[in-house]
Amino acid sequence: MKILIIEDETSLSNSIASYLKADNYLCEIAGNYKMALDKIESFDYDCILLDITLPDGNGLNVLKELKKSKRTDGVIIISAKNSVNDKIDGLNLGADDYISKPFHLSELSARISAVIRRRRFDGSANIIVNEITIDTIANTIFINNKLLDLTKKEYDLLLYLVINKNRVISKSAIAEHISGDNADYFDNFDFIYAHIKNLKKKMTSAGAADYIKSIYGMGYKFEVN
Amino acid sequence: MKLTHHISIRYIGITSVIILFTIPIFYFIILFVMMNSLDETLLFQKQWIEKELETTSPENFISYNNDIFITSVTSENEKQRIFNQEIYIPEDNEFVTHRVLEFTTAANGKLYHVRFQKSLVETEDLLNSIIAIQSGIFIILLISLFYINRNIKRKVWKPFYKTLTELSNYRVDKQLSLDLQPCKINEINDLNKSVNELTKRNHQLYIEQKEFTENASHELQTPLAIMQSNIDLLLQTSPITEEQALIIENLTEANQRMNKLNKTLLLLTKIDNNQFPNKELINIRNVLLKLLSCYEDISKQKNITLSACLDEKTAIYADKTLAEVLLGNLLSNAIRHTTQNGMIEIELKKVSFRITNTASGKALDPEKLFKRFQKHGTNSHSIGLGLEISKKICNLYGYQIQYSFANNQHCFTLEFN
Repeated sequence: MKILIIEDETSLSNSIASYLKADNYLCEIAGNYKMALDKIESFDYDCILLDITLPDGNGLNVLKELKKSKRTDGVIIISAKNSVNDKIDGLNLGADDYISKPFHLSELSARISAVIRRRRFDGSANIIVNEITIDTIANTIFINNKLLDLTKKEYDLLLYLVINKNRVISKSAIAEHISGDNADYFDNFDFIYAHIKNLKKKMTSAGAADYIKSIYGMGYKFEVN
Repeated sequence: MKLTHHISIRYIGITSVIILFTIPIFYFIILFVMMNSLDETLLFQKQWIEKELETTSPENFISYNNDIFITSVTSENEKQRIFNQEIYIPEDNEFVTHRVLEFTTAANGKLYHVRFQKSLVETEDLLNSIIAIQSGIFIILLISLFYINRNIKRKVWKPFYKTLTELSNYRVDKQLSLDLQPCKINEINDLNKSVNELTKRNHQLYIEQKEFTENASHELQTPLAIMQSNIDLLLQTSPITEEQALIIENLTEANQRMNKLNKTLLLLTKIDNNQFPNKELINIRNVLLKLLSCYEDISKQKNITLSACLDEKTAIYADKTLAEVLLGNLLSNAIRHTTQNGMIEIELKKVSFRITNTASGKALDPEKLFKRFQKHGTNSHSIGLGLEISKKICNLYGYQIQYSFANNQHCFTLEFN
């Protein structure tokens, strides 16, 4: 999988690349508008991460160029502005998703994974990890081909953990993911523990191995070899 | 008290004092002048009598009112003297002050004592006339002062009052500056010029400050993102000891708070800049139900009993994000400040929304409640901007937000209109 990171802050683009590399993504970095245009002219990408504010141009123009040449690369807009208008403009121009700075790398990884799944031509949107099969179209999870009865939040949580497998995800990243913007109002993430506990119980009683590990209370990790 | 009244009262006071003083002064001056001329007339008459006595016998002297008395005397016992005397006038049945001249003169070898008098009745009349005239002047002065004042207020002070009205209607966030027109009066021109410049400078400062907050918040987003992603990467390093985990967790938490603070400041500037022009009809019940499901986890954790009585039709015309922020803030505040096993009651009526929660302490100070960075209680995670934002949103749409405290319960009421 090839990812293009169009972002002028090298420290940010490097950490994104470093996180995504472990997922076997091939990352390329474009630090400005001109480089970005050069890259998209020469290569196809599965997903492009696009910062709108670039030193030498507006990122939205990159999006326009892509659409002009009828490209189907997935695009996720990264913006520091968090403005509704930017979001609407970007999505209207054909971006697949919009994420505002600052974000958790695990969240970005989940969004990239969703964009790539949606763009897959073979229609296979199943994620399989050993005995666990996640059908991301029907939003259902099977363990040993048996349907697992989960609430919506538990489903979101498990999908999030699986996509970021073998990574430690902080509690705040999990809270933000399952509560959306409203996580802003929380100052206590203890409720995540309750969800994790329920999820683990349901999974192990359905015959799955105990994959979810707590890491010193700072976060959780879906551990699979 | 109006400035014109203030000046008039002093003016009238001084005028009355001056007039009161001038009445006796006038009286004495005029009296003196009159006496002088009277005495002169008397002396003139004396010469005439002396001349007449040479040719006419005293018995034949005829005078008006019989006011010349001539008697023969043997010796010149006294000199000439002039004095005032009260004399009874039988016709009027009263005493009247007279000016009397007595002298002794010799004519045809005989000595005569002559006395004649003139009534001073006019001086009393004079005094009365003076008082009447002065009072008349005083009244005319008062009336003209009243008219002058009215006129001044209407015409001369008009530009001043215009400046005053414009100044009291001036809002630093709405207007660029006041544009007060020049007029004839120099002082008011100076005032207008200063006011124009002051408002212009203030607006400039206001804009700069607003831009600063906005730019600062935007600029902060990128370093915050860098920090966040690096913390996320740090989490993936191994091995991590328990000690490191604790440090990372603290970092995450601080970053989270900074992030939250920055987002909220941005939201505040956006509301101030009126960057939420898109209004739509919003069903409040739907918004509340969505929010309640978001807060389900956290209220369960605190074992809060939640009772909601929601009108299905209540709708407002507002920006959706702002409506969610407004209700979300009130709801999250209630959840945050409710004690363990406490209670929250939500009531949504046609034009009002009320949220009550069990308090852990005493009433909040309503003066400071809606101000920036006012934290209540010891919750260090609260950033103290929620209620200010709620208040700003209410101001934007003209809603009323009120706080009350009763039966150990905090209560916030919103009134839509």
